[in-house]
This record gives sequence, structure tokens and C-alpha cells, in this order.
Amino acid sequence: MRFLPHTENDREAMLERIGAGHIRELFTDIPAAFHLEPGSLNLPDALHEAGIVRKFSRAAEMNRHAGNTRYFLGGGTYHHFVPAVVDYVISRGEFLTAYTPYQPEIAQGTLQTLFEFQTMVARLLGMEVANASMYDAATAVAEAALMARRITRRSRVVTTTSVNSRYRDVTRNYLTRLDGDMAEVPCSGFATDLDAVINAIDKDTACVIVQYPDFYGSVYDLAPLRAACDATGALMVIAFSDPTCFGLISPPGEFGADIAIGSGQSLGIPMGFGGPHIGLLACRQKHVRQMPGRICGLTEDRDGKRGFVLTLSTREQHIRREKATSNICSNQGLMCTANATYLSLMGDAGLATVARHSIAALARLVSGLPHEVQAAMGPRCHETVLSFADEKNRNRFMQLARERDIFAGIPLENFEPDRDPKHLLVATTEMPEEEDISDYLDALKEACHVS
Amino acid sequence: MTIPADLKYTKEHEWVRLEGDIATLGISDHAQEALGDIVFVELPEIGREIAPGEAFAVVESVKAVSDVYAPVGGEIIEVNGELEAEPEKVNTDPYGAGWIAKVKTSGASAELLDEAAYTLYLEE
Repeated sequence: MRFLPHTENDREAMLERIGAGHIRELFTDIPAAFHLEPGSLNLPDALHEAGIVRKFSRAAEMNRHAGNTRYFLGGGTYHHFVPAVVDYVISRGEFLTAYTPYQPEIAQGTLQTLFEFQTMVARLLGMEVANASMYDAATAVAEAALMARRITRRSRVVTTTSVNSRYRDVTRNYLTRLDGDMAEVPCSGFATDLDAVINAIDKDTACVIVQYPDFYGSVYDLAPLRAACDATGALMVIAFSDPTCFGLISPPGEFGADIAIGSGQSLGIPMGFGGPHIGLLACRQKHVRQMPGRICGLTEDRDGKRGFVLTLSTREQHIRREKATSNICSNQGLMCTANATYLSLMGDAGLATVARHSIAALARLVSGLPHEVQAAMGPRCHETVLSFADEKNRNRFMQLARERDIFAGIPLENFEPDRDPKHLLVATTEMPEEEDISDYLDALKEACHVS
Repeated sequence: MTIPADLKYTKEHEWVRLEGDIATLGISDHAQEALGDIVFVELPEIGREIAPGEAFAVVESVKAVSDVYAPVGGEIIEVNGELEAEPEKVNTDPYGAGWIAKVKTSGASAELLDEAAYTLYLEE
């Protein structure tokens, strides 16, 4: 259908009807200084197309980003390689333009993709069942807390400061609207103090949420937590921010997690200034009816042919209204497609290679540190904290690194305002090359030896 | 459709069998038929106190998830654990093997209909 704008006669008729002399009279509530009059923007003359492309290309070239620098930032979002096939698949009109597939009659392709996504996520996390995704890791953590409250009919949530502060912020925001408290057990160093977490569990505790590897990249034995949860009936909830590591190290399911949640951004989704990303959520089969969101199931039609449908959506808002299991009304269908495409391209061996390279890069970086800079103690995956003598030393290094196109790390106080401003959260992936790491270490040594 | 004469019913289509101060609760033949194939029954916790009209269980069919409201108040003393593995018993035998919970009644009850009144209510 063509767009038919109002004619001048239409406008005049409408103005006359409401008793206005000029359209400007409709905007008198807005101060005159904010009115745009013809010519008031003082715009340059129009450019031809080639000129526009040149102008904006030059402006874009001034941007420093992960693609044209050496990039060592993490903290929940990671610079992994995204194969071109992922973009090709998700750009196909069948996926790109699809909305929530309520109707199996017309959405078999989308439903099958979601089904396979769930299968791959469940296998990667070592869990029995995964849903068709959450919006992001932070809301997935909050939903896991609510889910545990429904399952256990208890109200208290125990977590710890080695869980990404943004996940905790969102979870706290959800829980402050409900009864029951949220205990955030402090960690003294840059690792999870599991004994302190276990000590905080009581008979009212619905769940314990820890991150693995934790926010500082630390890996640790979760078996004592499983035992403590068994002893009190609390659910064990494992959060994660980069699931590529589970291509190599034990996933949450192997530790006996009841619920596993985290970000799927690392699996074929660009960082993209923080979104769109995706939240993953998986659990034990016995808890599936308290799971938020939706699940796609495999079934047979009346002719006995294989087909896919939304199952468990009976508990969602479009049917159960205010009694719905959760507030999530949709999912990240396109990002699911990106995850499924990435995981099917990489396979077990490919993902293990990504994890091995990511971990090896950090080991190489840490082993070359000058004595003025300390890496956090204990086993790490591909993220750690570097500590400097003071803020001045750290900032001198960051400045030098920036001049050499190195994003050296995230000042930890950006996430944790109480921290002494002398630490950097540093992450590696499979992306930095050996030369990038030696450049990083050279800049570090130079900055340390200036004083 | 059957409506046994020895039971009482609610307008939300639950039934209750009163034997002394013990009440057995379930959903009516009409309710199971309207819901369709039942795939899951969420049972209440033993020991929980329920008030008349309170949602104490959830019945999930392929079409919908519905709350089951208490015809009488009291303490849950027993639940039908067999429904966890065989929820379809609510379809096949709603007044027998498909019972949901037993309550030690407090004496309080919701508006209860006898067989004749419930039959009339369904016809309306």
C-alpha cells in the first residue's frame, strides 16, 4: 500500500476544526528556543553519495575498537572470533524477520533452530534441559533466583561478591520487590571464598548463586558447595559469563548444579557495545516446570511426521496472565540462531581449541609480568586481576598502552567502587597473537621502569 | 459425564468428599474433560494450611495451566503422589485414583454445591 500523506487542504481543515490558525500554535508549550525554523540548523550544503561515504569512512577510521587494536577487556563481554558463516545464516530473511513462533504450522524452521539451540546449550553446560534463551546473563541470574524460590518455597538467596556485580545488581533489584533477603558474602581476595559462602547457607536459603569461573577468572572445586546444598536443601545455581571455557573445563552440570545461567555472547555474537546479547538458562529435568521462558519440543504430527512446537508455554503470560511463571515474554531468537550456528561450526574440538588458546594466552601474559605487577593468586581460566603499586603506576601503564592501541584492562573500581584504584581486570581470548602479548608486556615493563 | 451424589462441588469445578473431619479433594469430571489431557499435577506440601478458596494445587494440561482451589479449609495431611508419574489418572478416574489431596478440615468451607445444584450449575 502506498503512503498517502495529508494534503494542504486536509491540514487546513483540521486546523480550522480545532480553532488553530497555524500548526505552530500546537507547539506553544515548547519554549521558542527549541523550535527549529527553516535554516536555523545551519547545515552544510548537501554532499553527493561518494562524498558522504568518504566523510563518514574517515570519521569511522578514527574509532579504536576491538577489531583494530589489541584487546584485553572482559568482565562479562568477550572478544571472540565470529566466523562469517554466523552472520550469513542469521541475516537470512527467514531468521532475521521472524518473531515469536507461536504457530508451528508456519514456523518449523525457527522452532527446529530453537530446539537444536537448546540441545547444544544443555550439552555444553552438562545439564539436562535448557530453555529457548533469556535476554541476557543478568536477568537470567535474577530469574534463576526466582525459580529457586518457587521450587524450594524458601525466600533467602545467598550469593557472593565474586559474582559479576551487574548480575547481582539486577537480581537485587528483582528481589527487593519481594520478601526475603539476599546475602552477598564478601570475598577478600580475587577469588571465591567458598567456605564463607557455605557458612552463609541456612535452612531458609532457597539457593546459592556462585559464578564459575568467577568474575576474577578464578576456578575452584565446587564439590563442597554441592554437599552443603544437599545438607540444607538449597539449590546450587552456577552463573558464568563465558561458556567457551566449558569446551575444556568441567561445566556446571558435572558439579551437580541445579540451575546454570549465564551469557551466550561468546558463542558467535559480537560485543556490539553491550548488545544484543543472550542469556542462557539450563536446569535439571525435575525443575523444568518452574523454568521461566519457553521450551521448544520435538513431537509428531497426526501423520507420524517429525515436527517442532512450543511446549511449556502454557505457563507463560499469554495463557496464564498474572500467574505466569515469569515476566519474560519473549526470547532472543536471532541470538539463539547465532549461538546454534557457532556451536555447530565449532563442535566439541573447536570449542576446546578456543578455550585452550584463551587460557594459554593468559598464562603467557602472566608468566611475563615484571615483578612490580602481581597477578591474582590461584588457578585462573582466561581472566585475572593485575595489581599495581598504586593508581599512578597503573594509569601510566594504561596511558602508554592506549598510545600503542592496546586496551589493557578494566579498572576494577568501575565494577567495584570500594576497590583501591590500582587493579586491572584483564581477559584474553583466542584473538590476541603472541606479538600482541609481548607488546602488552613491553608496555608494562616500560611503564614500570619510568619511575 | 458423571457427578457422584455422595460428593460436594464448587463453582470452580473441584469436588470434596467429607468423611468425619477428613476431606478428600479433586477436580470434577467436567473439569478434566474441559482441560483435556493432563500432563502434570503440582501437589501441595504436606502440613500446609489452606483457606477455603485458596489455590492449593496446579493442574497442567496440553492446553492450559489451572489452579485448583480449596473447597474447604484445613491442613494438608496427604497428597496423591501417584499423580507425579501418572497425571493422566485425573482424566481417567477423576473421583477415584485421580484424587489430589486430603485435608484435616478446620470447619471452614467455600460455597459448596450438592449433586443437583452442580448439575444445574453446569447446565446454565
